[in-house]
Amino acid sequence: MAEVRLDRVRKSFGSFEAVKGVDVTIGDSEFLVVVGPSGCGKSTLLRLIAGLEELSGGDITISGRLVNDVEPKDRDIAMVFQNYALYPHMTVFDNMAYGLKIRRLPKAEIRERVGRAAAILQIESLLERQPRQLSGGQRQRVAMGRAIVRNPSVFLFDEPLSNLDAKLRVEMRVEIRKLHNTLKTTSVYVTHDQVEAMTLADRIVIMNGGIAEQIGTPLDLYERPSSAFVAGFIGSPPMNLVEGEIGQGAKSVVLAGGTELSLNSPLPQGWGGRSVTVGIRPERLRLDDSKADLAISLGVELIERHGADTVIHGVLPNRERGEVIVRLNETPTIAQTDRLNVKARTADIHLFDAETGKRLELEKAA
Amino acid sequence: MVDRSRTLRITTHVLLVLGVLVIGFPIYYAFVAATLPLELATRVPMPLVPGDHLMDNVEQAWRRGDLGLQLFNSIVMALGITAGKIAISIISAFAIVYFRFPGRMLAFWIIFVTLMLPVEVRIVPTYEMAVNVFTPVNRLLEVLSVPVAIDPLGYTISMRLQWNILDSYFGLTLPLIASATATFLFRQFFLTIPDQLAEAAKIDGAGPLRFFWDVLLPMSRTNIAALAVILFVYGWNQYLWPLLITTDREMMTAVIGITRLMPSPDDAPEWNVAMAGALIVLIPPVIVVVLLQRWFVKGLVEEEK
Repeated sequence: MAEVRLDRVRKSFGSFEAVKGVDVTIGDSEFLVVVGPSGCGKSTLLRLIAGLEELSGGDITISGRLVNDVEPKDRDIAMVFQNYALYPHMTVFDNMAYGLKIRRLPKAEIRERVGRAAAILQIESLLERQPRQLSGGQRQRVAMGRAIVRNPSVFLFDEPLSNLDAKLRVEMRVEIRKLHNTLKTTSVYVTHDQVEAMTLADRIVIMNGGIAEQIGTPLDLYERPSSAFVAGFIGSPPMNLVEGEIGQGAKSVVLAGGTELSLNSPLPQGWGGRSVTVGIRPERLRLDDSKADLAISLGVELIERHGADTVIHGVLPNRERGEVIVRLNETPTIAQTDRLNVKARTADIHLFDAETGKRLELEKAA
Repeated sequence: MVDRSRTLRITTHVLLVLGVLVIGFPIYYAFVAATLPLELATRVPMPLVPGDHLMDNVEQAWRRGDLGLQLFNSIVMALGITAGKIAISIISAFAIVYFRFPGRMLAFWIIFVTLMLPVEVRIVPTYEMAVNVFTPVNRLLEVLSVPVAIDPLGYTISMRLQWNILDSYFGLTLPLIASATATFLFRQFFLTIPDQLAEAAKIDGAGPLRFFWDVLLPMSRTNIAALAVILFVYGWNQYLWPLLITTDREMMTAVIGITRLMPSPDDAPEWNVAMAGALIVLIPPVIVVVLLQRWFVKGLVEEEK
């Protein structure tokens, strides 16, 4: 069991700075997911923890031990790779046992450990097979088995599910989380899939351009995104982000196109006329809501009926773009009508500074 | 390939058969010559039907050409070249692909450039080296001994190192062992192996040599087999180099041995014996190709996943 601490961690490749100073402490037996778009530095961060890349600055501690200059094999970690990285010429058993053989563990113990890991992952019947005889999901299990047998203090996952098809990905996701609940090994999991992040994580780190935009629990990130970037990244479909301006007198928000939303809690006086990005989640727009205090009129462009819910793509009046997505958990009998009136609550409105993208706190203002 | 039409199929088959004839006929003709007695073998035109003197001719060729010893020499040389080339090139490729060191690309390009320098081109300096392996060291010593020569007492100290590898197995194989082609092949193969495999091994605790031995080498099996076939035939067929550095009959190779079976203008034109000798010398590479054929094709065609 271990705590991993990253302290002002930096990594540059030549003049390109991939990780620009990340601070995060991964608690003992915590499952931390690092998520972000491609090129945001999330994989580099993981590789730094693994010791596969050398730090350009900052410190990494594992279980209280500074590991900046410690070889990967001595960091007491195990890693699961996106392409599994199984040794193609070895059987499943040998793949899982290889690390233990190098560590010169007694044969009996190797057999016992591999057996136990295989039982957990339900791959006992595959032990004599070669990787090429396995399906993608089975290979993934073997790769995880190879990590488990080592009994490390930290698991590192580098997009382990990206090479699987959608259905298997959901299954394996559940299994990884169950596995964590059983083993309780500190884990760092890198993915670009926000759904994976939301479902797996105890806490999430959202990376963007080499910095950690926000660190928090999945619900934190969902309810109180610290920036427009986080707001647009988390949630499916993502939060609607519309350019706008705070009205004179700071009592309303005027969306691009002219729709004015009168807020029931006034904003700080100084904010009047400020350019903002207004965010609201698609699922917080409703057709009917007795507690709603805001109304938006949309032109309907497209209706997607998913069965359980309905996603409506609408546009704000007088706007070519400014698309607003509405997600209803009902199947209303609207046709491709011209206008749709949706309602929302002031509490569900997020405001972000138009220039910096940083969150403006409505509650604090009130 | 999908058959488009009968005409196409017939044309391709005719072409293939023609090709086989063009390549196969001389070998068949050599075989026929090897089975004929002297009178028939020298008749013009020579008969196309095999005779019954094959064993006589083979026996004659074996005895006169001293082929037993020479075949042995050839096998030692060909195996030495094969093993040496594979060992050196796989290690070089490993260094170039998996290690970051200053001058890595330079090293690679130097190796690559030597692709353009076959034995024939560098034969003179190579021979000089074979006469004395320490030639470059001696040159260097000469340059360095200049200050010593201006000794007030008038003495000059000179040192010469001498190691002659003419007429030895070592001399037959060593100068032919460096192989840019094989290095290049292994490099290309190593580049197709995902980096994560090396990283997984690193995390598993395998050092570079361990990784090479436990992972890379077994993964390269098919490539090694394919190369072994090519290189064995290459080594077996070496003519110019063995001809140049062997003067001792004990060290001659079979390919050179058969030239001595060729009738000279004053002798009886015993082409039947010469052809029998040629057939004998042909057998070992054919055996190697037949035995390793399956691996050979696999190694060239399929990349193990």
